[in-house]
Amino acid sequence: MKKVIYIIILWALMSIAFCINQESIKILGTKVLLKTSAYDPRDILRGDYANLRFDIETLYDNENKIDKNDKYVYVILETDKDNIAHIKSYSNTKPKNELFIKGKIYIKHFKDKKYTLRYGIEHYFVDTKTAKHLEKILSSKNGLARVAIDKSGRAKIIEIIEP
Amino acid sequence: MEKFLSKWLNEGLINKNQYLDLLNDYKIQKEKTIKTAINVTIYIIGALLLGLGIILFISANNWILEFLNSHNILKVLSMFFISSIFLYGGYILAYEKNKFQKLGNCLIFLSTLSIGGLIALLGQIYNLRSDYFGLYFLWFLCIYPLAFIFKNMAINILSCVIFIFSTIFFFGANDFQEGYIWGVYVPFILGALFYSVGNIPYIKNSFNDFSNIYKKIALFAIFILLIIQTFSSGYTVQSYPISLILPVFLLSLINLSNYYFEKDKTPLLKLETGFIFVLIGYILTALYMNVFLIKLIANILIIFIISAQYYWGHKFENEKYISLATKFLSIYLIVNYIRFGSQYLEGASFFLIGGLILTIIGIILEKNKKQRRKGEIK
Repeated sequence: MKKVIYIIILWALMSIAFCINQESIKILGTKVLLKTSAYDPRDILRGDYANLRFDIETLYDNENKIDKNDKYVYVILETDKDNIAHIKSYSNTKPKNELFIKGKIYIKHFKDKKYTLRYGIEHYFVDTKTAKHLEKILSSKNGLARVAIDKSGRAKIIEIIEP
Repeated sequence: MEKFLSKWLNEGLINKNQYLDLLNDYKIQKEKTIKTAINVTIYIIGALLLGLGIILFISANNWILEFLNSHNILKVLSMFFISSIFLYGGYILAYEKNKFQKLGNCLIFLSTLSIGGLIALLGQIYNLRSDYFGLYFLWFLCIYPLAFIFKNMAINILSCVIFIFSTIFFFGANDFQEGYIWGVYVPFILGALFYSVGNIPYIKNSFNDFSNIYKKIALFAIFILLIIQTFSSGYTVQSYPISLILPVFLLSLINLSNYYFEKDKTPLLKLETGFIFVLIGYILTALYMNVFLIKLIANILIIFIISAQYYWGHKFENEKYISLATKFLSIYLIVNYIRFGSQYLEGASFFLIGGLILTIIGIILEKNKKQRRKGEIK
């Protein structure tokens, strides 16, 4: 009997540890807004979620900072008066004392030095009603995503703000 | 069985009374087995329906669910509560009451699935992709201890499958796109890790069935790795990042400690440990070898694995080793026949000769099997 109780405690501790790890980004991270649009927001197998695209997902390597073997890019952000974040610069090494988001290089276009990045915030799970609504709104106009970014560049979506 | 009993009676190995007693016992046992199989089937269907019912209950649109769905914490708590009830109820039925062992074990297995549901829910709440390795690893950590506590093979196999997915997604997430990683490193790490865990003295002695399963998975992964190596065209990766060296170093340590702490250092253990270190050496030096050498060593290691399995299978009269070796041999022959046969033979003759060779191999293997069975009966 004791072993079963220990297992249930283990399950609870692991779930709590996982939640703390994820919540810490939301609570301690710097909150910014990112311009976003949505496409194909529903999936029969995986339930309802919005596939999000961000303005900052496309990066042009005009300064030749990205090596062909690089897998990640650290995108340094600056915010305007509305707290909307834009790309200030980028680096293939972790920046210090600056707000940055860690992007994984998803598609490389070597010809025009264009990179498509993924930040791990491209999926936003919502209920059926909201998914349909988001699809309608975000497919025609850009919305805003309130995102929390922690010191190591990990990001979490807090909410989607309609245009 | 009835056929063998009649044969033994005719050969004078048993008398008429013994024949009737054995036949009677066998019939009773057979009836019990059928009844148990029916019960287990009913339990499994029942458990699955129960699980489906809970999922539908959670996703249905009524006031209780409106309430439960209104806060993420309520959804998580309800899933956690359901998983705990399955585990606790299963334990009571199978081990405390002792009357409903099959049903209890089905419920315990169901709890491992529903805790997976809880983890999927957490992934959804935090907007994580379904191929995020952390979710699978968390699931693995939650259910793996249950396999040992209840000596449950089904949970053990589920844990292995989840662990394999977790490893694959880990390497996928870290974007190691090179052919070397997917064709060599990942199958090697999985194979060597399963073999090493299977050889941990405690697991080998107290959970021998688990150990055998780990070794089977390991052999399969290593065999696939070596088959891929026979097609190698060299590697573009020039050096190893420390993140790839570290797991190999840890595996070496596990194998050394396995060997050191095992009291009964059998020739099989020596052979297995030696083989793992040869494989580690091969994996670490493959980057710097020329293509011919890579292919040659891979072929030698494949032939070694197949021969060793046949040898140990015959030595310990273990049908499982022989059966696995036969499967490996068949795959190896088919792969090489397609590879080389398609180059040198025309369409019709390629299929005719291939079919003929496979039929002859099939006949030889069938004959061998019959002879072994005869030997076992004697």
